[in-house]
Amino acid sequence: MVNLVTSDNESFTVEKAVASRSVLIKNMLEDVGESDQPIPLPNVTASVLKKVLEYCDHHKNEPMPTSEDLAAEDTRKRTTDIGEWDQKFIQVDQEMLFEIILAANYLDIKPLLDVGCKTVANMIKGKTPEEIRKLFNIVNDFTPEEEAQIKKENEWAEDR
Amino acid sequence: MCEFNKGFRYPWGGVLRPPVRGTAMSRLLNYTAVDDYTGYPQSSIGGVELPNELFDYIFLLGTNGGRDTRFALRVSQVCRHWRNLALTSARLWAHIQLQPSKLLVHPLDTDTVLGQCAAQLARARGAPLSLRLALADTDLPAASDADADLVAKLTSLCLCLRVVTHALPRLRALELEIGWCASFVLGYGFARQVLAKIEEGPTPWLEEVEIHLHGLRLDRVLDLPVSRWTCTPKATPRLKSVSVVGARLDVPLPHLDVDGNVDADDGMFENVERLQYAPSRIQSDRLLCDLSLFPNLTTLAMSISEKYTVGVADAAVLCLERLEVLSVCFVDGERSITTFSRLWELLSLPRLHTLELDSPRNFILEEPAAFVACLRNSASTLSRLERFCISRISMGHRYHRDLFRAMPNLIYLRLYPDVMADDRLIIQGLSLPIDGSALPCPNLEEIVVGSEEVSLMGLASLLLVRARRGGSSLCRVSTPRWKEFAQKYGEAKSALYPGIKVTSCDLDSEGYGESIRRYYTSSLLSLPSNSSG
Repeated sequence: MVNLVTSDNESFTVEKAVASRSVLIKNMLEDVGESDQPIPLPNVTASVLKKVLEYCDHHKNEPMPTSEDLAAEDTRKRTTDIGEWDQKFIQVDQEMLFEIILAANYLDIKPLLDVGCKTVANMIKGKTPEEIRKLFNIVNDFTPEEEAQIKKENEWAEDR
Repeated sequence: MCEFNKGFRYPWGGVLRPPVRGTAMSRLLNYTAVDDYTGYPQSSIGGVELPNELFDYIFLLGTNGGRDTRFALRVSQVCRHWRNLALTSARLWAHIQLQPSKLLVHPLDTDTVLGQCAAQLARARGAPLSLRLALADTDLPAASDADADLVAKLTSLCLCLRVVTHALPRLRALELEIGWCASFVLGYGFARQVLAKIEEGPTPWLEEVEIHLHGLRLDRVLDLPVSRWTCTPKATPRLKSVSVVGARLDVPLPHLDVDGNVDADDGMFENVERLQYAPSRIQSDRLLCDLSLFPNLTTLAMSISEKYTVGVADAAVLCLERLEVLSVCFVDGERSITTFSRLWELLSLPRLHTLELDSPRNFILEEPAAFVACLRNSASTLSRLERFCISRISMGHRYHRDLFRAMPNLIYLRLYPDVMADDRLIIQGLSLPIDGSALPCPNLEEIVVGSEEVSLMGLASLLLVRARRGGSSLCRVSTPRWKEFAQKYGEAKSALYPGIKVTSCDLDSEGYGESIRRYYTSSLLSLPSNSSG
C-alpha cells in the first residue's frame, strides 16, 4: 500500500497498482524503494485526488502506455473519442474538470490528461467564438477593428 | 498586400510575429518553426490557471491533430490570449485543404484566396505539412452545360495550385482526390495540372501519398499517368505509404532478371510499407516490375484485370519478404483469374498471414477447381495463412472445403458479403474431420458468414461439432441471423456453447483493399453502358 498526502493535508492509502498509474509516483516509489514514508503531493487537493484515484482504480489493470505508443500517437490522427465510463467519470463542474487536467499533468497520468483535454476540446467544437466566450466566461478583449480584420482574414477558410 | 502581416499587439507589449515585408507567397518559406510560449502569461479558464502547453494540447486534440483548421480558426477568434497561443502553435495550421470549386460560388478573387492560403502556410511555419486537394463529383457541371465563362473561371482557379509548389519542400502527406466528374474535360485538366505541380518536386519529407482519380478511368482512349513524377526513390527517401487508384504509376523502373533478382540501379522505394495500387491503364505489361519497386511492403492491395499482363521472363520470381497482408480485387470477375494465377505463381510471400479476395460485382466461379488449384500451387503460403477473407466470389462447397483444408493455421475466416454459403458448406467445410480425425482449421477463433442460407441449426451444429472434436478456440461467430440465434440458443443452451459470442456482420471489417473495390464499383456504375468494364 502507498500513503499519499495532499496539499490540504489529507492522507490517502491506496494500492500500489493504483498509485503507480501516475508515472510521477511510480518513479518516486522506484527511487525510494520499499518504504512506509508518505508521499507528499503539494499540488493536488483532497477533492481532486479522490477523483484522480477513482480513475486510476478503474483503469488499474490496463497496460500502461509505452514510449513507443506515445511516439506513434504523434504521427496518428488524434481524435476526441472518449470511452463510455470515462465520459461519465468526467461529468464534473468546470473548475473540477480543469483541476483534474492540472493534476493529471502534474502526476503524469497521460490517459487521464487525454480524457480531460478531449472533454474540453469537445465542449469547444462546433461553437462560435462568442459561444466559447460565454461557455468559459472569457472577456472579448479585441477592438471592433481587430475583430473585423480577423473575420475578414478567415472568411474563405471558414467556408471550407 | 494582405493584412495579416502587420502582427498583433498584446497587452504585455509583445508582438506575435515580427512583420515581414514582401508578398504573401514570398514570405512562405522564411519562417522558423518554434512553438515558444516563453514570456506569455498563463490564462484562467473555468476559474483555474491553465499552463499554455495544456491549452496547446487541447487545441491540437480539437483540430484532430491539425486536420480541422476551422477549430483552430474559431479558437483564434476568442480572445487575444487564445489567438496568441493558436497562432504560435504551428501544428494547428499544418493541414491545408483546397477545394477550388468552392470558389465558383464564392465572391472572393483568386488573389485573396492565395493570400489566405499563404497565411496558413506562414502560420504552419516549419511544421511538416499535409495537403488535400479535392474536386468532388458534384462540384462541376456536365460538359454540355459548361459555358466559356465557367471554363475560364476554373482555369483561373488552377492558380491556387501555386500553393502546392510552395508547400512541396515541406510536404509530409499529400491527398489528391478527383471524383467522377460528369465534366471529364474539366476534371482531367485540373488533375493533370495538379500532377504537373507535384512532379516539379522534390519532396524530401513526403511520407504518405494518395492519388485517387475516380473519374478518370477511361478504358478506351485516355489515361492519366503519373509519369514525370519526381517521386523517385532518391527524391522521396521517407515515403512509407503509397495509394494510387485510377492513375498509373510510371516512374523509372528497375527490371527483373531471369533469376528473380531486381536490378536496383534506379533505386527502389525501400521504406514504403503500404501500397494500394489500382492502375487505370487497361494493359499493364509490367505489373511484377511495378511491385518490385517496393521490396519491403508489409501490406499490398491491388486490382487484377484480364487486361494486365504480368510481363516478366518466365523464370523470374519476386520475393516480397516482409509482405503480411495481400488484398486482391478481381476487376473483371472470373476473367481476372488467369492474370492472378500467373502473378500468384511468380510471387514468393514467406510472411503472408492475411489474404483477402474481392470483386466489384458478385460472381460465381465457373471453373472453381482451376482457381483452387491455382491457390494451392503455393501450398506453403496457404498453410501459413491466419486470416482469409473472400467477398462477392462464390463457388461450390467442396471447393471451399478444399481451400479450408489447405489452411490449417487459420484463425479468422470471413465469407462476407455476398458469398453463397449454406449449411453444407460450413458443416462439411469446417466441421467434418479430415482423414477421419483432424478438424479443419483447428485454431479457428472467429467466423463471419454473411449468407442467410445458413440456418440456425447449421450454425449450432457447427459450434457443437467443433467443440466436441476439440476445436474449442472458436469464440466469435458473426451472422445476419444473430438475434434469432441468440434467442433460440443464447441463454437456454449457453452451456453447449460456452464463451462463444454471436454478433451481427459488420461491413466495417472489410479490409485494406476496400477503397479499390469501391473505385471500380463506382466507375462501373458511372460509365456509359457501352464502355468496357
